[in-house]
Amino acid sequence: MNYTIFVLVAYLVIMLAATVLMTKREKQHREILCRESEYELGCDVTEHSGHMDLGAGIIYIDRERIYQRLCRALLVSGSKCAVPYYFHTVCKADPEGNARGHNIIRIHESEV
Amino acid sequence: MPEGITLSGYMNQKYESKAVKNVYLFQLGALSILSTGVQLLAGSKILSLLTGIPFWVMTIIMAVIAYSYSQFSGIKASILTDSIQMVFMLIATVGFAIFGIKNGGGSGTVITGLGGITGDSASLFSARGLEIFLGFGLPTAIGLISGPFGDQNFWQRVFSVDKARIGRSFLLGAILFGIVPLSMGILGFVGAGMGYAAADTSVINFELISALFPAWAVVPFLFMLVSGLLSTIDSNLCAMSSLTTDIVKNNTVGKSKLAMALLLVAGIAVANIPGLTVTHLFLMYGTLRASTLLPTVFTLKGIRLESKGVVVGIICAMVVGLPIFAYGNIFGIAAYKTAGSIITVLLSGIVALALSRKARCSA
Repeated sequence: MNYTIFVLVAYLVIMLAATVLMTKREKQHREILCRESEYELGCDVTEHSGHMDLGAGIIYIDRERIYQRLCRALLVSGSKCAVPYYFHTVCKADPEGNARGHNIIRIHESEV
Repeated sequence: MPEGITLSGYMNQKYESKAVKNVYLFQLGALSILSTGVQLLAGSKILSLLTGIPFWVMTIIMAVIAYSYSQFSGIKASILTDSIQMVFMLIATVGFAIFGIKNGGGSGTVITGLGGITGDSASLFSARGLEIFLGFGLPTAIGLISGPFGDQNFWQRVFSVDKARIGRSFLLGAILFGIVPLSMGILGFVGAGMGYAAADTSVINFELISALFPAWAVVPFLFMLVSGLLSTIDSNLCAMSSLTTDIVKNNTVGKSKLAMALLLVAGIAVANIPGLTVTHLFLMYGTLRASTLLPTVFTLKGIRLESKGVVVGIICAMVVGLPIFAYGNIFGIAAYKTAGSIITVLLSGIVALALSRKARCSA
């Protein structure tokens, strides 16, 4: 009888530990992601606006992670050299006649 | 497929028919209850025998264990725990098969045991061989083949896998799953070859492990047993929670958890029906699963069916085929079991096709 109860208790502990750890890890991951997303998006937007104001043709975003985690399709004015390798770029003529050049639609690799 | 996270939701989306959705919901719900019932019945029987705890109390204990970890993260928790459980099962079953052959007298014993303990089942075409094939093999095969097409557990897992990896995942899953019954089957042939006579055939695996191995071997065996049974229960709980989205409007996590708890209550009630055996229940839910096989396959293959045809076809399969099968199952008549199983699987498809064609002709 003892070892049967032991097996049941051990089994329950293993399964509970696995699920609780997974849930905690996921929660932690989501929180970190949200904090970083806010920060990085803020930088991105600020930089983007700044460069747009200056009429710059290049926007440099130093953290690729933001693309990996967040971006599904971005529409950014002329930023070809900042596009990481795992994005496919599709160039098309600026529909609004933007004098600065092209809009580049970046599509995450998994969506191609 | 916006409403396609459940099989019933997908069929509803395809046919824009509440009747189709409801008939699928009934089948999927009943399947989850019977499947949960059979796992509780099988596990509690052995555990109750070992601990001396009353059977009905053990069914509740098993249900509580399954619920305790399933309610945390739903399908993610289920898949994580399934992986751990699968590792337990594979290590234990392969170990038991290898050392079972060794302890039981070698491969010669396995070959002797292929014909069964009486030796009259060596050929598929012998009277006994045919009886086993028609009474157990064929209905089991139909029930298992119907699984991926008529069970929310499989449907839910498809949506949990990367689209590009679905085929590979299911192939690997099938191979790993196959190792378990194959290994335990080898152990059964060893027992038959040794001439081992079981005191209670419903717990023969446990008896054989106790006879072939030292006392400590019962521990990995129990881990394997509990893993196998509870992994199906936690998958059923997840399936039921997703089916709730088709039943309840404005579904919440709380309502899904309540549905999971209700499934366990129904499963406990089924497991405690007096006189019910694991084989009866296992074959019954396999055949129920087959009742929607053909309409689902036709729909997935793009064969045009009318909603009325789908509904009437499935109801005919359940009303005609299932009772024939149940009769054969209860009274142990192989011919009825075979007829019931084949009628269940074919009738739904034939009626659905015939009524759909008739509706199109008259339109």
